[in-house]
Amino acid sequence: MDPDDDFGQYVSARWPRLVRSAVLLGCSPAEAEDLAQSTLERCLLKWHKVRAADDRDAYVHRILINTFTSSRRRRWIGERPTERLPEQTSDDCMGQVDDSDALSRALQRLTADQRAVVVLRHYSQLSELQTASALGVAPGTVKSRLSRALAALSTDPSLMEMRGLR
Amino acid sequence: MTDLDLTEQLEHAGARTPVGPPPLGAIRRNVARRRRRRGWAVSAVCVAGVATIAVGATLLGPDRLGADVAGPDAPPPGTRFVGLGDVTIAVPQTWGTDDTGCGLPQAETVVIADGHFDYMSSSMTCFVPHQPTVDNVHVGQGLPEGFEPDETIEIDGRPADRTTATCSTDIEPYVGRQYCSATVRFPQEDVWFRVNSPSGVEEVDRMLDTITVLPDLVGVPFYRDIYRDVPDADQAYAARLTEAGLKVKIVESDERVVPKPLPGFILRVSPERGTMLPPGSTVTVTVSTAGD
Repeated sequence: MDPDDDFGQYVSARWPRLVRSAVLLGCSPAEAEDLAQSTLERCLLKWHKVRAADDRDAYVHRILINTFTSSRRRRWIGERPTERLPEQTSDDCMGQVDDSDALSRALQRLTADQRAVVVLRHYSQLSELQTASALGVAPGTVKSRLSRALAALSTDPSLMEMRGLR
Repeated sequence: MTDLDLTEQLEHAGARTPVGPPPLGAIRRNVARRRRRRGWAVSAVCVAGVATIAVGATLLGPDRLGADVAGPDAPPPGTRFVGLGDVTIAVPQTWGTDDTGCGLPQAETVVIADGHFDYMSSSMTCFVPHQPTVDNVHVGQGLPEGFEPDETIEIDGRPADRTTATCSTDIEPYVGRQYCSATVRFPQEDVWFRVNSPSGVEEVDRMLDTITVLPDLVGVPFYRDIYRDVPDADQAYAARLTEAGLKVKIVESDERVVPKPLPGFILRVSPERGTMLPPGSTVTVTVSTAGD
């Protein structure tokens, strides 16, 4: 298949899930679209490498995670102290109500590493090996991070409250 | 919470974010623009070097031209890769390596910054009245002198610290003449690239844009940090080569060295330091027997 068509098909198939993965990682919807676009631009620049990779999805998600980490670092550097807090805060961007809100708060309480593992394994549908490749860690590390993340989520007050309401 | 519950809740949360169609056109336009920028750099290099490529090819030999590299990891036309580990920068094929005098580039060149040559401390014994200002790329390890990064960027998925390209007319020994530079350092890989150019920040940025990661290749490691003062430096360097996935062939030479060197003194390596090779390639290390 022509590389250009191949790229187009890949983007069409993966775009919504890449954007939503970025949202679940902690981006606003607008940031998430920017992040997914930057990720895919980097992939297109090296598309011959992406096509030749043993696991294309793991490769693309690795770029996504690295781009996300870089953007957070830059944003942190750009923060400045202020005397007055903004009137409205948007903690996250996963939705405003009910279960999604509870899940959003629970995800926020995880460490960045744990949150990334949860999103890649349970939303992006990557296997353990793919997740390890995307994060640049050993499969055993994925297992232990996921185990700790699930333990934290199972005792998270927001999610416990949500389950109690059902 | 079961795995199934979590997946279901994440799907539910994800579905609440409306997502428009993919911006394929914008992605392609932006990439085309970035490719054009790289293309301009390569074109400029080709134009500058076209008259000397044939002569350079004869004089420099295949090692310097990076002829070992082929396929998807081949350098852009008219250039060769230089780097360490799997991180590289493309430099014109016509450039030599370490074409320096008193530690300063005398012609367009790659400088492998592993010798800790200090221009200021050596200037008393190495006086050269007028230094040419030429394009050059330094490749080194550790922290480059005066390095204060302005931003963290990412190149091929690897984090790197970068300074903004700036120009000055106050840099010794080029006072009164414009000299521009910027540095990119990969902290995880412990390798940095500094581009210097009298032409302007655009040229510096264009050259830094050619930095890339080539996971299927490895740069010939450096050795001048150990070759002079460490006994059996050849063995220490052989260990570096092996660790990098390269094979070692040690050749002895009785050529004269002043002062008398320590045993295992390395005279030269081939291919030259920084040459990108497929793992398993052989590097020939020529060792002096004059100290034995």
